[in-house]
Amino acid sequence: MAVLFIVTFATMFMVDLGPGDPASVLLGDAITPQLIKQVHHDLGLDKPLIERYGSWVAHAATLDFGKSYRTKQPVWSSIRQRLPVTLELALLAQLLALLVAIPVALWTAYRADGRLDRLWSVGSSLAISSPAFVLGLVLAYFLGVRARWFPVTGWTPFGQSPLDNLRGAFLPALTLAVGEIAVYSRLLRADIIATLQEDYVLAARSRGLSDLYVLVRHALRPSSFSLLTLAGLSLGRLIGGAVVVESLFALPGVGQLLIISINTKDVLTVQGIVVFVALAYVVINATIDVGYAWLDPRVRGVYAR
Amino acid sequence: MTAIEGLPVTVAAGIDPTMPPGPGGRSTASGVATTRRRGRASRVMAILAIMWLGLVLVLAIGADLLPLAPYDAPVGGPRETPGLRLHEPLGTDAIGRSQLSRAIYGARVSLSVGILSVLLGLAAGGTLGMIAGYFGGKLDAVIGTLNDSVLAFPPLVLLLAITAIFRQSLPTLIGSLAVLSTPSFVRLARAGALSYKEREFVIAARSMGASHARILTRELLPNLMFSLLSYSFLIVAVIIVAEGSLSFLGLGIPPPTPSWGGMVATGRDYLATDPQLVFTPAVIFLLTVLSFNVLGDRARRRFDTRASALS
Repeated sequence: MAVLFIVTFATMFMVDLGPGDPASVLLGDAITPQLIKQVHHDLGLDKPLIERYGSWVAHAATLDFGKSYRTKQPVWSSIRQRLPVTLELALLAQLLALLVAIPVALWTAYRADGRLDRLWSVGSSLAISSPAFVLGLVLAYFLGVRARWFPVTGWTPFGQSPLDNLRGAFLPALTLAVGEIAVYSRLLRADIIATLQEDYVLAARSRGLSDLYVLVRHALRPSSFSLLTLAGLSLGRLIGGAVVVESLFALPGVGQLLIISINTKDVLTVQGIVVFVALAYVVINATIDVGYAWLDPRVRGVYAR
Repeated sequence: MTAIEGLPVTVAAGIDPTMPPGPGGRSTASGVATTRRRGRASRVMAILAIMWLGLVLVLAIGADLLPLAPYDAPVGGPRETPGLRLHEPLGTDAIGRSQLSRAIYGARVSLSVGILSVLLGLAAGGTLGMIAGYFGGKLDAVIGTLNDSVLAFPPLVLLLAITAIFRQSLPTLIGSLAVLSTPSFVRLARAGALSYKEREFVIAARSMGASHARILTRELLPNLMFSLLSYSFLIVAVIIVAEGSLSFLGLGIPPPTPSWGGMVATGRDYLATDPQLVFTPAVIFLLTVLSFNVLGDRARRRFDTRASALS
């Protein structure tokens, strides 16, 4: 709870921390003493701090983050408009990452120290080291500009044409996914290797079950808990990465809105996005904490059914 | 708020936890052989990483002494392609400025920002973490809560929020990146201090009447320093990526001072026709981050006996 308080308080205080009067930032050139007073009143800056915080939180709790001085649109409605794009990217990236990472991890664990495993260990170090903006441009160049398989910029709403939407979302999602693939596959590989040492795997093998069956049915399940935790936690990283990727591929998501708002000094919108993202992040983390105990049977005291 | 407690420090800081890729279980005869092969490969990687970082560092430090073209004025036609020649081997950028000199001066920004802010984060985080771990109680709770609050923001979003508030400048950048790198060190130092504070040498020092300050600086700090420093390499890699991303978004060091992220960003408009404008700085950037990661991985495996304290 204390964390929530500090997070919201710090975000609210953001407006005051900037250089100069927030009103002058908001108004730009068209500045008169009367207007400043007006803005101060609108923002509630003429009230004591605690009262301001109280009313701000009360409003924020109902998703009312005020109105943008730039677009005159409520901040929440512009966030909501763009939220689907960011969410789709994050989910698609997550899906891609798991789809690639699980088979790769199974194979590299099964043939640990084989050729592919060694290749993968180098490749994944490279993937972990490549930031989204480098990777995104490399992918855009080879798969978009050279091969022309995917559009490099632009976004088609899903309702308009699901196929075009997925085609457009693929490159950005892949960009986000690559780092995750590397991390997931390493983690899962290590866990599977540990599981394969267990006696019950040996027992399953000695019963003549095929390697594939043992890997998928016996080894994958008990090995996947830490992966699931990590996958949940990485949503925050995906949100951060989405900022870069959305700006890179010109996608109308929340991240792009954040960058635009920063560039146009639209403090209220920035504030709204930051507090929204931070709260979402805290809620996700808390859910995972609960979910982990629920997922891992050992925590419940009953072994996997 | 315990939600974030259980999360590996690396993930919390937005770092990709580079798991040591070595084989996990019991070692078999063939496992030993391959481990040795892996060991040799990783040693080669580490040497290459040191060589690359050394090169970049020497060039960045000695930039003023080198016969380099100015980084902010055109030296040739726009978008000359790189080639094996003495004059501008890396070609020129969109308005004819020397890519080589921009890359080298950019290294200055990336490295100094990365290293300085991590050192600041190390100092602040190490101190806070040691205090929290050593004294425990209320102080620990307060520091822990503050730490969790910083971690409650996705790293890049926090960085952008700070940039939105303050004017773009070098001190702002270093300060905000230091804030970003602090929580990892707090956790690391706290875990270390917790594990050492009941050890015999600390008890001995205390019974000899040593003050808290003396125990912290003379007994605990030397023991924690190695694991903190070895971890710093990984954090530097993360921070350089963060700085690059920020510059790429146009919110880093203001132009005309070159930065790698900014170079990539300006090259982006010519991706279809002159991809080298993106790829040259991108490759340099990538190699640098990779080198820090390789060295960090190695250093951590060697020095950090308390890796388990992280997760």
